[in-house]
Amino acid sequence: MKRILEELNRTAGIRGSMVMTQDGIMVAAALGPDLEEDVVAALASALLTTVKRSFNQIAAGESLSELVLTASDGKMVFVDLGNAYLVVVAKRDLALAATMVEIQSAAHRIKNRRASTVQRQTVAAR
Amino acid sequence: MLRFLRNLFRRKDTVEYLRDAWRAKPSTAVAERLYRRLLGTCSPGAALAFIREAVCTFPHTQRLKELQHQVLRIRSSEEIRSLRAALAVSPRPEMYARLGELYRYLGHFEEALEIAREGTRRYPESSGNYLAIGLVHYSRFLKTSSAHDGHQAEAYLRKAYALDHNNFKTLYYLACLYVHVGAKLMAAQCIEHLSALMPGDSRVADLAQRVRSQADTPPGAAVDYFRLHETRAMDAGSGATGRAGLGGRLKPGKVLDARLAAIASLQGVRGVYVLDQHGKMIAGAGHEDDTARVETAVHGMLEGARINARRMSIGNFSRAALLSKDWQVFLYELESCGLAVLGKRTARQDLVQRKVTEFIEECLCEEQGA
Repeated sequence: MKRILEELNRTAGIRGSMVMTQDGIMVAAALGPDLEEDVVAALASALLTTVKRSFNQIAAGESLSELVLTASDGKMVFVDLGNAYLVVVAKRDLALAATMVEIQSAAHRIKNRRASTVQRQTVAAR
Repeated sequence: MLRFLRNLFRRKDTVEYLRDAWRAKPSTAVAERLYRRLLGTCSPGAALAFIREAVCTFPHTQRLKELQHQVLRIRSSEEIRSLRAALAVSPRPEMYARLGELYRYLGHFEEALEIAREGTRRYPESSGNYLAIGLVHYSRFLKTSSAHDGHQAEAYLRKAYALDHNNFKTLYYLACLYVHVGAKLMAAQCIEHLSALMPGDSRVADLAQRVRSQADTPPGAAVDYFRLHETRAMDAGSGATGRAGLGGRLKPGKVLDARLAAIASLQGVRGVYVLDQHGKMIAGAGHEDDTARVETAVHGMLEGARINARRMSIGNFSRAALLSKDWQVFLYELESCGLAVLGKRTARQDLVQRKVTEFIEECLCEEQGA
């Protein structure tokens, strides 16, 4: 999983990426030297909790599949992975339309990897 | 003749000549020339000693203060190198704390935190490293007003104080932190201890004066002062980069309603709402009947985005797009208010973006025209 994140980070404008559970527990991270894993996970979780709660009031219980936050000095992208989220921290000038394909592709690969891991574990348990 | 002139000019550039000129008639121009000469020919220590004297003579000259910081930065870099070398040979707890302090002074907060945290891991009973971490968060808090840094600063300074009750610096910065956010009762407690530690200290007297001039806080109120400060700072700085400048003067009325209706008429859009900084709806257009629910939800999303963008150190929140299987919400930060566009997945983001840009331009034109 970390390799997928590292590959994603090679995309121009991306500062770092991580996979975290909805309650802020880090699963895998490939963040740059200026980003602390625990801090990013905690803050991303806080943001998701606040925004999802409000979003559910409008979207009647639907789960948030994607969140793109743009600020004056950077961007953050959250992509739903089922029971976890892919979090991408990017520079402000990131060309989102082009990069979103890379981010979605990474999310898809992570989802597949997680699914195959679960499948292997189930088979091993049997 | 030529030699005489050359000697004359050369002499004017020497340290002795400039010192004489400074003694005879001190001025900021002479001070700067002498400082540069000392830095070039002598040591940073000599330059620092002189510039301190110059700052005492001209305490309100910003240029001299900048020069003082410049030489302190040079000295700090030199000290960091020697401390790093010493740390490799015989580490001591105060070395980590001092390194953290120097990195903080240079503005390298991450390095400061890293070294001070290493210090706390190796010497958990030494208060200096907790103080260093607390001061990094305190400095960041002053810069960003992030409640997270405020809480961290308070926690680490309190930890340092718990380990060493007689550390004036710890208690002083804790008091400064409380004074800064308006936590009057807690600041007063710290100042009382400070006065006992260092009676008659002018810095403590200044703090006490600032506390007296602050408004009274409700007794026993469980207020998160850092969070309050963050919100106030966000309100005050809402015109910063990344936000559209509408001056917070969007007035409800037919014109505004018509403009919002134009956005709401786009395919797939269910509603467009403008909320003021306190979360109160200014105007709205759309198919949603329960406006109170929409108001609460949009305010929650805007607040979450605003606060967390700052905490994540990516600056001021500008806009956001939230997507689910069937729904999408676009949030835009205007100055002192927020705009939300609610729509089904059939709504086209590029068209919404274009309409919102037009909306902002129209409002700006109207404001300038007025």
